[in-house]
Amino acid sequence: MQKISRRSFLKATAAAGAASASLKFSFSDFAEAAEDAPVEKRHTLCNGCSNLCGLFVHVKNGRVWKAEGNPIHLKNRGKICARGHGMVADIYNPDRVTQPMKRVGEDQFEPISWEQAFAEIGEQLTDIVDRYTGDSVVWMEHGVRGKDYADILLDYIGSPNYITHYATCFTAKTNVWANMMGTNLYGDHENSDYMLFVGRNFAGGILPNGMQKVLKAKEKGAKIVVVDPRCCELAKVADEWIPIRPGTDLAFYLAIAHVIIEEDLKDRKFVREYVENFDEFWNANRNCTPEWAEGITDIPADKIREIARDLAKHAPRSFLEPGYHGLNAHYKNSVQQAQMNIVINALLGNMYQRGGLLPSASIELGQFEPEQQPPEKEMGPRIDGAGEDGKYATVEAARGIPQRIPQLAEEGEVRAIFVYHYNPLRTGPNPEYQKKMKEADLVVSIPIDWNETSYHTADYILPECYFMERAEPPVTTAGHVTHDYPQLAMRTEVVEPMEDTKPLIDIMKGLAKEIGAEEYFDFTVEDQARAMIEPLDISLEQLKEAGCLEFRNQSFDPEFPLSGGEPALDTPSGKVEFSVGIYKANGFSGVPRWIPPKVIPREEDEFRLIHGKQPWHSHHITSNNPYLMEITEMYDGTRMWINKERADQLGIETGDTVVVESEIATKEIEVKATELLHPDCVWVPSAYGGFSEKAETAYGVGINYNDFVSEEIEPIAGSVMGQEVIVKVRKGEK
Amino acid sequence: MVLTVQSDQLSDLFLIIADFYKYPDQEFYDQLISSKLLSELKEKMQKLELETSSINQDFDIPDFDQFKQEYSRCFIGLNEPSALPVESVYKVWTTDSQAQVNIANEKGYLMGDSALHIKHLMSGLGLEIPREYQQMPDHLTILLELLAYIIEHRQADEIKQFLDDHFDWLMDFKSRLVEIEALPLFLRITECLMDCIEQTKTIYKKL
Repeated sequence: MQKISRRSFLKATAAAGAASASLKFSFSDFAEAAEDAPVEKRHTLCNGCSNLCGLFVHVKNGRVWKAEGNPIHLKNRGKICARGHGMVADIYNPDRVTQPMKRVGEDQFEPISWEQAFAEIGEQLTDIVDRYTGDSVVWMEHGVRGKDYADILLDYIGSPNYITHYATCFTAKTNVWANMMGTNLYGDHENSDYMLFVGRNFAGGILPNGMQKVLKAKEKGAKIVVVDPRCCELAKVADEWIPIRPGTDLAFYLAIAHVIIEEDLKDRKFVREYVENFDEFWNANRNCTPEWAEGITDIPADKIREIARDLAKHAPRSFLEPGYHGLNAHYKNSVQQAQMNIVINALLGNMYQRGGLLPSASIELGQFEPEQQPPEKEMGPRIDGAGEDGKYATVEAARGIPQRIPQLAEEGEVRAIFVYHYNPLRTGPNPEYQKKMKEADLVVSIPIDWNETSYHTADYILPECYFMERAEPPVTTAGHVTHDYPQLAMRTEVVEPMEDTKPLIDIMKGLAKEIGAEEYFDFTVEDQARAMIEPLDISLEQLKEAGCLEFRNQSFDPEFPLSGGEPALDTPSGKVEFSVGIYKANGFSGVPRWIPPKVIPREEDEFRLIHGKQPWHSHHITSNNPYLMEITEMYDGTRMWINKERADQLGIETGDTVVVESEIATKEIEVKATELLHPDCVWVPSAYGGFSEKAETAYGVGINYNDFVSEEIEPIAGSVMGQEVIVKVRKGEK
Repeated sequence: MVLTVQSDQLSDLFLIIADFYKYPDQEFYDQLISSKLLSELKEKMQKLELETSSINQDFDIPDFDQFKQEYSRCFIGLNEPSALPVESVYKVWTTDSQAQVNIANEKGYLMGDSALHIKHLMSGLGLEIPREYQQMPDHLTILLELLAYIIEHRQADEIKQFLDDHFDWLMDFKSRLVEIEALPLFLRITECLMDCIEQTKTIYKKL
């Protein structure tokens, strides 16, 4: 009789039938022999957050065996944080997307082959471009790892719409520094005598080597002051924690500047030679005294004076930390707050000074150019309006305004959306609003795991392989902390892809083939890498083996940039611009002035909802990691913090479940009542509130601030203003 | 000595059961609803004098699309918590005391020691792991196909060893199926498989 099974998967190779002499049928014999297998050491860059720390991963029997920090890499100098350890093991998490998926119903998917996925997406994309032009196609990603490939695709179809997630992160900072400085500077923590961190938690959004540098400075006697509504992890190692009313950092900064100027503590030479429009700034802010700021910030005027004087006393070996996610996408006044960061540091004359602010050491890399590039196509204006004439002219086009896309999809303007390494449904404001993305005719998500955006909006899910399963072009290690020598690091393939997943370049090749753009992707990651290192005296093999190379032959010049003896920053005047021309030209103030936050809690049960990172999670991307979620459980990490006195007034105690309600959402969560938080706010960690049923570890755990935040756009930099939200809190019934 | 004819029957039996753990196609589904598949399974079991009580009932089989969704829910894990039919997930990831990854002594992860052993056996026997199962070579459908191959081509002591080493997790798997309220067919087939494994062990232990 013929066997029923027609679907046998096992296929014999040429060697079938003659079993190898070393074959170990017994599992225990095999396991014993496997223990003696050789161990190989390979290099990757961690994907636990966007720092891309260098990791050596030891591989035994084709599996990850051990990980250790690369001792050279600037960001971690041999250390790995908790999230890095968690991410290393997560390669074996069964919750990953294992092969391409096609939506066949609400919350229903069917596994399909790559060939089918490419063919169907290619056909639909071609049809959309034919009917609605390439302008209706959007590529959204965390940024900017996929940009090289996305640009080719977008150029080919004629779309200008490359959009990043940065509106939820730091667009105020990058916008302001580009316009006022034309470059970025970073704190020289290790050599500083006085560091003021405002809304910046180095120990929460961990930069392992950043913390090492801060602690080394502390050992040498540096003073560390943390101004934050919450006694964050960094505050615990600081000399002083000063709670500030959230949303009022701008007033605090204006008063600091006031003291420095009024008491003539500024670096007169620096301001005279390198600052433009000082008078315009001062004339606009002469009334911003510490007494004025005290009423707004809740910080005593004397304390403001003390901080300003201490900063000036230690200048130029002192600084106001330039910050990152903390304050630069959260408030209506985030742009002015970011402007004031530059103003204060410039007044201190600490720029390009040891112990103050320094540029990154840089190297000149080669530029990879594919042999064939798509012919130029006429494109319309960006669909989100970023950088275009009109309402969002001052927003950086390179960042974009991702929170506009769901609305544009609903209105039929956006027809196709590609989402790469980005989860706006969970990390963008108002998930119900974000779900409107699915109104587009075609939504393709390229994730690692079953994130909310893939699960709730994607028509197709094309899984990228895990970061340890792929190679990527080299990157410099610059940013956030300073170092005298430039470095170049590379992510190499540590283990073979386990799942039926692909690196992004291969996904793009597959899509390109179906739309007739195959010839423009006729290159490899190695081709890109070789072109990039061409000006350097190294081989690709050298870089791969070392993982991270430091170039000690490249000079580092901490001098203010001059050309022919004149200031030569990349700004209109070559100087630090205290007034931004493009802001003025578009109807905004050129210099920072006091702008109150958009919303203010007024009632007994009202609070501003603020958020932050925990040291073992990176917003939501790590929250389906069982190892890291065990840490969450150990520390009751999902609890919302509330000020003890305010909690007492509402009859709320630690461990109670409370109801949290904004205009758009009502949720319940356990609380921690504590003196370590300003009374005006409640604080939640940003990691939780998973609502993808397939991400089992994260599903239904905790709440997320984005549940409560409406979709908003800060008009100058386009940020989401993620902390302009008032919630009412009351004791729950549980 | 197990007769050649008996080996063939056993091998066929496990190949039929292996099919239930593969993503369903139309042909499989048609054979399922026509009762041909289950009749064939019972027939094989009866010829081998194996107990068939676990599948002696009519199953309520949903339409093809729904059946695929039920498969996905239970065995791939779409929509809700699943019962992955993968040995590694039910066992400690590695017994190697030198391992320095945080999941070394944890359950619930892919590519554990059992997966490495299956890769080793497949390679040593000259068999290829299909692309879809590269990440989980110890998926139940692969284990059963390999068992069928071993029964046909290898000696009794190796068959006994393989049965002992790689099917001791089925009780935990069955508990998970119960927990997630899997389609009754999947639960009964798994019970049937557990019976077949135990009875096959008995056959070979007598040798």
